Amino acid sequence: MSASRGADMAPTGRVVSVKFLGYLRRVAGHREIRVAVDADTTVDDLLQTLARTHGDEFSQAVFRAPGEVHTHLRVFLDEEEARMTDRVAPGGSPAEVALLVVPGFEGGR
Amino acid sequence: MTPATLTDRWIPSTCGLCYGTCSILGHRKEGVLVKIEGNPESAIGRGRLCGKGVSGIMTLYDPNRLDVPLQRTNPEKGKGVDPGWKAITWEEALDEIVSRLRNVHEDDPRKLFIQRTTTNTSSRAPLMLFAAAFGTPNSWAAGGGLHCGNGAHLIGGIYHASWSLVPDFQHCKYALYFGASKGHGAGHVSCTNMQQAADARVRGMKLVVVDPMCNFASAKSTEWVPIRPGTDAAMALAMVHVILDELGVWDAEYLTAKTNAPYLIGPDRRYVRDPVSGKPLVWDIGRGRPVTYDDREASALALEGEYKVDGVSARPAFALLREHVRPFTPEWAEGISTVPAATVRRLAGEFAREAMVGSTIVLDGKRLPYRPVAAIYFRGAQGHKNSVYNCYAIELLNQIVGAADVVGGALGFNPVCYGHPETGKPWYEPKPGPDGLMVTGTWVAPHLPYPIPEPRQPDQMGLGGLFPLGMFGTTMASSDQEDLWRRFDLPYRPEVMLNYGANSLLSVGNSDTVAETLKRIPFIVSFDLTLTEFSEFADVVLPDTSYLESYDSRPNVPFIFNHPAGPGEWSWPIRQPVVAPEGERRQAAEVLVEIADRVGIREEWNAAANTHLRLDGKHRLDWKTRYTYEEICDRELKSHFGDERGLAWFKEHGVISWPKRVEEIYWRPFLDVRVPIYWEFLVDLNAKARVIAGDRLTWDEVWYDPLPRWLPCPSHEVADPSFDLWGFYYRDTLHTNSFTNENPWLDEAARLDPYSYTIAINAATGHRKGLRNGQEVWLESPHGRRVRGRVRLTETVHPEGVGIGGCAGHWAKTLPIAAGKGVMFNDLLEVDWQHGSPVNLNLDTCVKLRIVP
Repeated sequence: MSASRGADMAPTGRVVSVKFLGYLRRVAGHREIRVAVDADTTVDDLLQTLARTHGDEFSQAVFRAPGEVHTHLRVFLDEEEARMTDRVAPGGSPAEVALLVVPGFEGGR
Repeated sequence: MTPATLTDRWIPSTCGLCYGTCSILGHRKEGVLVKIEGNPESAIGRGRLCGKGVSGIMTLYDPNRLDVPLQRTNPEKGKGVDPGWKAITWEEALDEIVSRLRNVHEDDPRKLFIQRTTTNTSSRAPLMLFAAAFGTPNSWAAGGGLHCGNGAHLIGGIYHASWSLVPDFQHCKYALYFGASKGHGAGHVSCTNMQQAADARVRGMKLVVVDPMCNFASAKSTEWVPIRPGTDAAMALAMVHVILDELGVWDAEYLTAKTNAPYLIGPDRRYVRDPVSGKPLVWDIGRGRPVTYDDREASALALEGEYKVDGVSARPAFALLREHVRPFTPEWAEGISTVPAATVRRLAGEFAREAMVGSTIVLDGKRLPYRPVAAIYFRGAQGHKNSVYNCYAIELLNQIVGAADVVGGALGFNPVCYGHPETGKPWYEPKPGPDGLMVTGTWVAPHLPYPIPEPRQPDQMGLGGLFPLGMFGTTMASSDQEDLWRRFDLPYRPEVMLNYGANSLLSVGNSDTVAETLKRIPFIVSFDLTLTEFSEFADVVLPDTSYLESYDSRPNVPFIFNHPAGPGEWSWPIRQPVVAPEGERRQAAEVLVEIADRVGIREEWNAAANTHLRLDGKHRLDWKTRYTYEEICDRELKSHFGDERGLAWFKEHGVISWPKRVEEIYWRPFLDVRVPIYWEFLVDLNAKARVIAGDRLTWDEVWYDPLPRWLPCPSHEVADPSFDLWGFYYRDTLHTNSFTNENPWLDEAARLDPYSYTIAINAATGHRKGLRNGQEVWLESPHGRRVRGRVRLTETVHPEGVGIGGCAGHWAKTLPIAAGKGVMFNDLLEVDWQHGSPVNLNLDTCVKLRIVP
């Protein structure tokens, strides 16, 4: 089962909490939800799922273009910044996910 | 008895009298600041300090500084209306502010409008964090961007991965400035650049300055080329025409490897793409067939010709550029710019010859391209409705000869940094993005210059979502603000405004228009040093600490904004209090931390701080813990430079420095990124924006042409012949925005200067009109706006030009030194859709004028 379908359709016992911080709280319509995922669900999968379930305004706030997230979107897993390919429930232990738009972008490390 | 070292100290810190943020030493004796000098230990200023910097002492000890929070008692707001201030406690002030913000945060966070000054860069990080945490997209720099950056910084980002650019002063032989004063005035890295520019001139660098006025850079140049305001693109395109069409000079190797010049363009003006990968195609001459742009097997890529790809005719972007500029002859440009065709042709020839296309040089054991020419653009070229094409056309001069971020060429401010040798931080570099085009390694503005977000139904006050090339839009403070918001169904209106040090009454456009927009905002809070014209619209004013009483771990960060480019050292200085704040003054950043906490957005603030400041490992903020801003500064420094180098270390040393590497300075040959000489993305951008705008807003398609052209400003289309002059303002080196007008030392210098507070008019033109030096006249715009000032006749302004130092002309009684001095040029400017760009929302800042005695 793909992660995105898993998040939509088939809870497998893994549930992540997703916090919508800052600008995304209003766009999502709530500050926090719980989403069922499977073992392989990545951050990117989760965002695709959230975009489908939260409507166009949310999708446009997260994605710069179809399939490409905005450069100023930040995703955190257990308060650590994550990459799009990171799994949201690594090793069977779901992370706490948070999304934040940081309009004053600075990159690098 | 107090040790002498405590009563008599030189304290390293950072200037805050302009965004140049040079490193300083403050001499404190018995608790009193007695002198400010440059800090020779820092690359940022290298021990030099301008007239503004040394005058900071007078701003610090301004007797009109605010010491307590104030609340207005008069509900009526307007220019010159007394707010009826009464002193309140911090607790009363914060209770009121937090209550208002809580309501807005719960209802719709977009109702918070954040405004900050560009003068003090320390405002940027805390206000960005607050905006991100609160959730409002409505934040701007009160005219910054609209005047000085929607175009120039966009082009700097797309081509150089940097906020701005300078010549490689140490190697450049021929610098061509269009409305720029890098190395001759205030602003980015001003003091270091001044030394480097002077050294370069001594070394023999030729400097040609194209500008309506011969002042800061022009006066020290080899040649001043007077130009009609707003016509830079015409002259630059004619130079490109001469170089490509008449001289046949270009750097094929650079264009092929580092730009999209070989990308095949179809009849629909879009890339011809590989049907499988979707990547743009190029024509491989060796194999006689199209390949993707990143095909490593390609032997020689075509820059010219016409090819059939799946039955469709396609031509390389470079071929289209050559064809595009063919009609833009020097004779054509002369009619628009007034620059003689012979001059354009001569300068183009000099630029092409001095570029030495094909030459190399060995530095640090590495053989590198050597192109000792640079075309530099800034405020003058960009302050127009046509800012994108003005800057794009000028930048093409660098691109066609390959003089971009190579030895001797036009250098972005530090697009690559591989960090301190012990920690590898800060670290960033440009990387290839969609279609192989460059994505900056770090940036400053709300979104990257590339890739460009897709247009969408705007939900920002400035309509930025629909016009994603722009940073800020005119509708933040325009006369048609409400009309445009209605047309686009903006579902909210600003209810609370947080202002940090900005005086938008003076800095945006005509003050009547700005005043009306402010009057509609129910609650305005302003962090200020003194009461200003803006304060008349505030409900609560909070007494801020000055830059000499404040902490900041990052006054020069990011390095693409304000760090010397070219060879030398990296320096990361801090700002720290040189003296203790008096009265009840509090640093705005600390107050914002408290407000964020009381509004209930602590987690959001800490998350934003972690990512924005790149806090690392154990120095990351725990989301549930409250930290002071000073603690956050400490953590940022330790994240970058190790546990032993926190705020305490920096308080003592002031700055940490390390040598630059050649791969950081001349990075272009080392990184596999391309830049667009053909803006294919504008085609889709225009199409998508039009669909969203529908009949609510229309614009001419020509603004989205993938190749640059000269397009007229509104001032060029004024038909009434009585308006026979072009007004423009310039950035006076004696002042920063409207802020320093109240500084008595700088005011005295400005009064002694023949131009700072006067209206510069060409002497011959003035004599023809019967004007004399010192005569008071009105300047009138076609929209009936008027300003008054004294005439200064001079040979140093274009015969059709009227040059005014901006932005003076204060009227607030609370600014007794500044009031009544100089001319408020911005009062002549319309702020509306017609005077903004439909591609990047830039405000047009030249205006047709007539003189009324």
